[in-house]
Amino acid sequence: MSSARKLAITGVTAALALGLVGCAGGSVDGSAAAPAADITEGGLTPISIGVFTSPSVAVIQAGEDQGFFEDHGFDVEIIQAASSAAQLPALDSGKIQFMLASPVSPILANTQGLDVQIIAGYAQNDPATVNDSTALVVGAGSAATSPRDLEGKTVSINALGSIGEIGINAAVEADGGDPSRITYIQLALGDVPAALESGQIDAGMTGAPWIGQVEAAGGSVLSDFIQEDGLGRNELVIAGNGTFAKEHADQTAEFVAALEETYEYANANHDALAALLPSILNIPEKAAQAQVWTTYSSELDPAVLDTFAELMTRYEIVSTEPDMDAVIWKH
Amino acid sequence: MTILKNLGYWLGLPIVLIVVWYLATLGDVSIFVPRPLPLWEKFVSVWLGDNILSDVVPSLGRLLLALAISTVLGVALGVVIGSFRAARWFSEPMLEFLRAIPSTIMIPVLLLVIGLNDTMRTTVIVLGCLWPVLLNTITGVRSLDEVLSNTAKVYGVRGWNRVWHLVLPGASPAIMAGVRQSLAVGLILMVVSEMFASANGIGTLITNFQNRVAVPEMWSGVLLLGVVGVLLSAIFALVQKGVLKWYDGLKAAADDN
Repeated sequence: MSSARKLAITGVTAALALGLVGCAGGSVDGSAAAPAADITEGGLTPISIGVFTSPSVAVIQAGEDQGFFEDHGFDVEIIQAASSAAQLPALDSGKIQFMLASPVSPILANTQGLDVQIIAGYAQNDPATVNDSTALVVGAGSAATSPRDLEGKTVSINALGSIGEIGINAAVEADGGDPSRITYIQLALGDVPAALESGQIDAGMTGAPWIGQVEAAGGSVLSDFIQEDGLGRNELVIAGNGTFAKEHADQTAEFVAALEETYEYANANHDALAALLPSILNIPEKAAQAQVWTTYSSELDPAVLDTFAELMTRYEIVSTEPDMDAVIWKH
Repeated sequence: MTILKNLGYWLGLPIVLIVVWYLATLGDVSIFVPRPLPLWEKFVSVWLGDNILSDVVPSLGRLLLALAISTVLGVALGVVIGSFRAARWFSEPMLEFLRAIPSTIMIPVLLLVIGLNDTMRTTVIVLGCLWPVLLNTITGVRSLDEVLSNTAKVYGVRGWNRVWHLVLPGASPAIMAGVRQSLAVGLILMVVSEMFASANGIGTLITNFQNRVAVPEMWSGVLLLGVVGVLLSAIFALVQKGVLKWYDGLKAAADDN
């Protein structure tokens, strides 16, 4: 190879390298993308809230339709994703300011060095009804009668390392069993009835309307574990970008106030929520009418959140003990 | 000296890119951005320990089994379909239809029909890898050198002998091209098949890390997949060198003329 050609190649490589460094400057640096919410648009502050596809989307949607967020000065955009873990990068970079999540996500994110805070409560599991959230079910003819019997069995949960994993572990341990002997696999809530029927899993975590489907096929609810573990009062929460929540504390408080009005409306108007479901979840109207609604509340129970942190530490979802003072937002 | 030079070319770009990557991530970066050193540490601690046996080996086992099945099946079917015009006319529209269906979309169906097991996952990979091999084999068989084909006919080479000594070697460059495509497809499907309802495997572990916001661990899984891809293609290149020795020789001879 001639030296001229060699030189040309070196030059191209160097140019390429410089180009890459140039591109990287802004986008790679996380701190550069500081959340900016003070841009006003007709007097309203644009705010994005991430939700995962579930009946809960109807609540936020109803709040927006009723103008509660607008009353408090926000132009809300609802962004749907498959899971809250998938939205953490967007929350961290400031593309969304708030998101709906199980307390597991913000606690986990904090131990990994992300500034994510729990801003307000969301869904409260009603101890009297199983159908308002997820439960652990077994199929027809299962020999298991209590969580302890799941030792050595295959159990499906909607996401590994989630409330399902810590919740079922805790239920089994409280029942005198050894949770380390359970094999967990990740399976969508809606796939559980079929997997139980064909015997591919011994038990599974699922929610309405699939709990009814399992029961109709001869199966039963083994444990309403979220309730039994004492996690029900803050089953779902609103998490926020910590930097935003601290720098714009007044706005965040306004947002919580808008949420509270939304919850009040949602708890009193189940019909209006049900009317939104067919278009949001793509389910038939009849199924939407049968939806069992949970109670919505902005209240945060520190004892419940501590239980979350404790269980996550005990079952090694986190490697360092979460600092709950840093996780919970204070105005 | 030539070897050293070639090695330099081979590793040159990766080294340059890694240096650039290292420099670009020196400052304060978002935790979602991978950095070379922590990534390498996680790569060693996550993948070179217990997980080799519990996750990497089962994954690669399923991949290699599926590649073997799709190669054998693809070549066998391809030789039959490619050899008979009637079979070709009969099956080609159907084959084009079937190959266009992404095999990942069949996962929920296969979950029900086969179950949550290795057979299901292997089937998903086979359903994707079969088509490049099959369609390339058909093309290879159809485009056999006419002079060779006629000569064989004149000499009375028929049946099994014809397949073994004329059809398969003649189609082998096309077959190898098909297998090469199926390697990449197979690696993708291996990961995807493990993201659903799996208890072990590289894909399961990566999903798990993602759920746990274990970002460097997750990236280390991505790195592992890249390394597996490079190794597979290196092994394949060796196999191809052996199988297509005659062809490379022929080409070299033709180039000399």
